[in-house]
Amino acid sequence: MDCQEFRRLIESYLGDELLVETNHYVLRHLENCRDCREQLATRRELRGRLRNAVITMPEMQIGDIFASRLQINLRQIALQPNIWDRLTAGGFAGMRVALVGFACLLVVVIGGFFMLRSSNDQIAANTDTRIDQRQTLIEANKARLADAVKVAWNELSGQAVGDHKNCAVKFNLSERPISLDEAAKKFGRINKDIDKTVFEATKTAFSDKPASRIELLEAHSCIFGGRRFTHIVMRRQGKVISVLVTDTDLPAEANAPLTDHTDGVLNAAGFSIGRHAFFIVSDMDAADNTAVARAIFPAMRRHIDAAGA
Amino acid sequence: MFGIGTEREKEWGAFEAEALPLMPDVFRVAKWLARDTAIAEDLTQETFIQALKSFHRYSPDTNCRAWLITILYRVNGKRRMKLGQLKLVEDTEEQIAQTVAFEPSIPQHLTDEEIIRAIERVPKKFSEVVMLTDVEEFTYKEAAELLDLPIGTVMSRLHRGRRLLRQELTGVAGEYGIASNG
Repeated sequence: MDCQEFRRLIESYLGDELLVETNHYVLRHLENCRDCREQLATRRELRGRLRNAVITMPEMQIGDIFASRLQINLRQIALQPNIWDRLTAGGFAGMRVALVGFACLLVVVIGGFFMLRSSNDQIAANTDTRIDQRQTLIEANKARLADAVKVAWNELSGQAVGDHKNCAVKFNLSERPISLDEAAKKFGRINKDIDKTVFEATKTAFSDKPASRIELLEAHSCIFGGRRFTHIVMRRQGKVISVLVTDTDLPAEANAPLTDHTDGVLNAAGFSIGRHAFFIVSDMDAADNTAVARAIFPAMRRHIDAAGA
Repeated sequence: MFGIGTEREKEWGAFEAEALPLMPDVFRVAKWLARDTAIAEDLTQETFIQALKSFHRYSPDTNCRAWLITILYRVNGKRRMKLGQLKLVEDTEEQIAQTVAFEPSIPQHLTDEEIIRAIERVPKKFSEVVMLTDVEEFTYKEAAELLDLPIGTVMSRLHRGRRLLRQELTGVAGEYGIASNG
């Protein structure tokens, strides 16, 4: 055997897959060839190292918890008798029990069929009762959901009031507001020119009170309590009025006034438009505040619809 | 009742003694096949459930590990078929043989991690034969049965798989500036 032939057989030799005779030839060649011995030693070492690396690598080890759980499951599957086992356990006696059981089942099925026919009225009455009970449950669930939604809207109104206090009154936000143009690019076209819409609509709302002059103080996009608001700040007769718009996926009756929120000083009136909520927050009295919200609502809806938001 | 319980307990006892100790081995191969722990656990679980259900067909004197790994391969095949991953592999052996035109020597000073990463880079059809024979120590015949391949194909893939592994390891050594030993 020469080196070339040995190299052809080296893989099979390593795998202990050669015939005894061929193995002898290989061993004889190895005795006299240092190069092939080294080649073999290197490959054997690599094989050992590969095996060792894979077998000891932590990520290739089965988890103890998984292994124990699987063992418990398998034991349950293995030892849990099935229905037929239960019925036929005990040999002939068990089989007799099974047959008697089957006969009883047959009687019950046939009897049930005739009883079913004769008691249709009773079943219908029972069904009506069940439907009534189900309806009551549905109504109760609806009421609970409505309560939960109301609470969520009140929380949202509270956040709008918080933004008004901390942004429009105290200028105390942790994050600097951004312009409406920038917000339009980043957060949606609804921000574009919304200040003009709000200001014009609010002026119109107070048009029957010519003495009242409205100023637009500020318009930006700001964050309060982790929520982003489009915020337009106006002033009328010394009172600061905020219009705040924010995204929400809370369910709401379309175009309905959602909330009238007050903390004793500030009042908030809110509406839902699509996936947005808008609030008027001010220290005007609650009725005026809600009236302004109602008055600017149509313009807000047109603006939001036009923005495709 | 007593008879059934005893029969089941006896079978469970045999399964517990023969198959359960091989759970780490099955998981290791599953992990190699899936490369993901959660999938490997699913495969291992499904393999053992199927093995338990068909344990009456298992002959006690045969190789239980090979029997379990055969089930594992079948379970994995079904999983891949469901995912649309199972496809006929083009026979690229000749192509790959051409890329391995020289016999690289194996560098020293490689870590276990580097060896693992190197075998992961070897195409799966070759690396799985290397894993089955060199790591899991199945015979050529067992590997051929597991992979449903002729024994000659297993041998040629093993030969090329090992050569590709050496080539990968030489590449790793090159990256770190480790000189090869000839």
